[in-house]
Amino acid sequence: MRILFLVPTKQHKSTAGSRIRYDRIKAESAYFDVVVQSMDEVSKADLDACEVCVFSKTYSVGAISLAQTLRRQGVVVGVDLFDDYFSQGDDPRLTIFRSWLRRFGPVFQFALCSTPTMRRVIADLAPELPVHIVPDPYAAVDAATVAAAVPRSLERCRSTGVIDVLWFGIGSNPFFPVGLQDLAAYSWSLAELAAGRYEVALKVLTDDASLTPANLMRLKNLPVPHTTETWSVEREREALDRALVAFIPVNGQSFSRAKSPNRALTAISAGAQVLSPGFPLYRDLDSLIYAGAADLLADIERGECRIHPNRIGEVQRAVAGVSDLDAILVDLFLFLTRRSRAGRRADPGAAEGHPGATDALLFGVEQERQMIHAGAAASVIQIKSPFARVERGYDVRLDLRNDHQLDLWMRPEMSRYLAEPLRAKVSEPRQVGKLRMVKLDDCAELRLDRPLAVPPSEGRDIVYETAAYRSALADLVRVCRRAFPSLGFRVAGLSAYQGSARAQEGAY
Amino acid sequence: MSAAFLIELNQDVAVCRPVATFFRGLGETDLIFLVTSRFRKRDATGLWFAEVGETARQLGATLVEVDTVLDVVRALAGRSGILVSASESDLDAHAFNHRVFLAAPASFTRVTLQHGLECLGFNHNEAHNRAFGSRVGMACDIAASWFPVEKLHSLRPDQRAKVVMVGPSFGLAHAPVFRRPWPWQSGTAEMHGLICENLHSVRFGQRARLQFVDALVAFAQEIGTAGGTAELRAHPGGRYAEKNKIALPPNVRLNRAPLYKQSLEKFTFGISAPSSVLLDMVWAGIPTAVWTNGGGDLDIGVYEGLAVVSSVSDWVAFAEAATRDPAPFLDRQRRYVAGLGIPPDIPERYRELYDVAVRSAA
Repeated sequence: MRILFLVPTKQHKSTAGSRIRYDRIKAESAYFDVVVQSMDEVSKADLDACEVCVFSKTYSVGAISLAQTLRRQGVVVGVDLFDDYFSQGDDPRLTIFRSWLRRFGPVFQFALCSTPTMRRVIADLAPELPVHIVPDPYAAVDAATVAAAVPRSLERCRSTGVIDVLWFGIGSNPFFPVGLQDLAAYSWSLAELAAGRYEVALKVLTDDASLTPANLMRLKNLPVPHTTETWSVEREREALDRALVAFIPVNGQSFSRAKSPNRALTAISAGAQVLSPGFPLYRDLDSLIYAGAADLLADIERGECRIHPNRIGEVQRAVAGVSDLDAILVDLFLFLTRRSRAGRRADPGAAEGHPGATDALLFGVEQERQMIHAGAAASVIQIKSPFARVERGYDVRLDLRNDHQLDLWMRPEMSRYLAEPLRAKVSEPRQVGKLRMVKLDDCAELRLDRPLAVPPSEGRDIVYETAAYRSALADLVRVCRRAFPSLGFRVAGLSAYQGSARAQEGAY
Repeated sequence: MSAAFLIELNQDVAVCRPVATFFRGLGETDLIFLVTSRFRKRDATGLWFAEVGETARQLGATLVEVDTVLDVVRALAGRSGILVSASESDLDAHAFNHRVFLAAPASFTRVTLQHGLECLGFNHNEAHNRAFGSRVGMACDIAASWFPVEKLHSLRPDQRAKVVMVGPSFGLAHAPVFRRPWPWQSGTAEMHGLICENLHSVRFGQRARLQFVDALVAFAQEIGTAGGTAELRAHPGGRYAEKNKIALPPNVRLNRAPLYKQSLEKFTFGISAPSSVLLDMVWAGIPTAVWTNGGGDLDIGVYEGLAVVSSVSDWVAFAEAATRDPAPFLDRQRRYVAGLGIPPDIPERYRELYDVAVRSAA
């Protein structure tokens, strides 16, 4: 079975989520032929070859056009939702995520997530969507790694009197206080660790972007001496190998409660002890981790910690209970097979490769940059409205001639979607920049019913913030529909705006 | 121990340079100049960056170019000592230095230097108060002032305890000059003046700017008939005359070099709009007058006591009198400096500042 995991940009391919979830499935499985691709790099061949396409972190309208198009071609489309940006119903900053899922959930045929908590969140917003839990896959804990690492770091700690502690990961989030803020908030636990006869040396491995002045101030006030380094896979591996303790505090907000245990599993697999004060996110690994410094200090004193060669059997059993790679892969394969059969039954036309309606995306002030590439690969028709500020290879462009009249340029092959009476009025092809375009001049069908409620010449912020912009777009969509009656239109960037009644008219 | 200097504004160079030199003399061997990318951009001519480079070479200091707060924190990581800025406050204009101070490793004592007679956070003029308000705070541990605390009339009450009086850093080079060497005693010196402008400052309205420029041009023509000459010096952060391409009379030329590299004795008089450069000129022993537009809308409070000129005839009369006999003006300047409350033992105080900062950082 060929699965395409589609992430927004090529940077997303190397994030922890992508590395831990998709790359491991890719590396370990005989069931799946896995491709991870980003919307700004995906090719038509990638899209044509896949049987299942999973959208990951693509909370845009363009992605929906893409999903719809793929689904029509018989691909089973799903969405992977592993971060909880959805359950904070009273947080207006996250409206865009909630309305995206509520509104576009039905476009997808299934959802994947990594924890039961997250499954409940999805069920609230998209009750019809079948959800399958794919825990972050981990290989069995390697006894040799633990046998080498644990006695070495314990011995160093006892001879130097210094406990090497590591905090690692992305240091911040645009919406939630996590990462370095958790580190600072729970640093009392490190102070407890340093209160006995050992000193604590903390190493912080995180992304440079998170080391803002505010976070640097937090670090500066930590109660234990620390060094910071820029995170990389390689450094994380080295640091975990050296550290006796990985410090993984978890706070109790909704976003953090829905997290998977991947950080703790990463640390345990490398033979580090896990000190995790705060919300008991890792209760399934209870016997392997420390919630407080006192137990950890006692075990260090005793010379035998919870992750230790003597207890390797118990460690392996507990980890396998949370994340058994083989079982995860089998379950996922069975789930996708069922979805794929159900999908074909539900969309009988799709199975036969019936073209059906074609999707078109109208671009306003919001760019949805990745769609330039992905839209072309999936043959989604891209239309430039007078509001779009960025020039690129659109299939169709609408220019404002005066208050009421629009001029329409398009690639010659778009003529086939044109309304019958307009086809005769198309001009001869002309070279426009790098493209050959034809033009429709002065057609009654391209007249706006009223002038645009906010002129495109206004500043970007004004356009974007006013409700009038939504109604202007609705007027433009109406013109588009007259010109191309067979196309289904969506407006790029508008998923969050259900508030304005006029803009809501129609199918986008 | 380390001594690090944040160089963010062009004028920071002239303020920090004598302090760095002095610390080097006290035996500090790890001097660091943290030059920000915004400084490089502001320093359009490259002159001040070259000065930092030269100073660093002379002192054996490290020059580190930084862009973000993180860069500074990385540069200071693992070190301890004293971190100095000549322009730090919680105002937007000083935001970078402020954030650096907030985030700086706890092993550094943070020192904000007062950098002018009128200086945000220490001593505002009326225009400062109008533009920035009167409640300006600093993130430093020590606010190193020029005057005793009771003369810092814009200090926010919660900042009082940070103040340590050290005097202006140019006072580290020499004591103020109140008696001129021989050229003036003979009364034969050619009339040659130093005119300074800081017309970019929020203090000036457009009207005052035009009045100053008009007066300068008329004055130059007047003294030109008798062979008098002058140099026009721009505030390093503003360079109003250059940027606005003001046509200068033939007997006035631009003076751009740092003051500390010039022999100031060659000037027989100095005139400036209200600005700290007046104190530089007073310190160097140049008979000095403060310009005001006469309309009363320029606040010259802190310059009260210096000679005042406004009309062109004032300029001419002052220039001629000062060239003929500087002594009365220098006497007046002695009283002026004494009245400011600037301490007489400046090097002593900077040594104490260094000792205290280093001790509390240790």
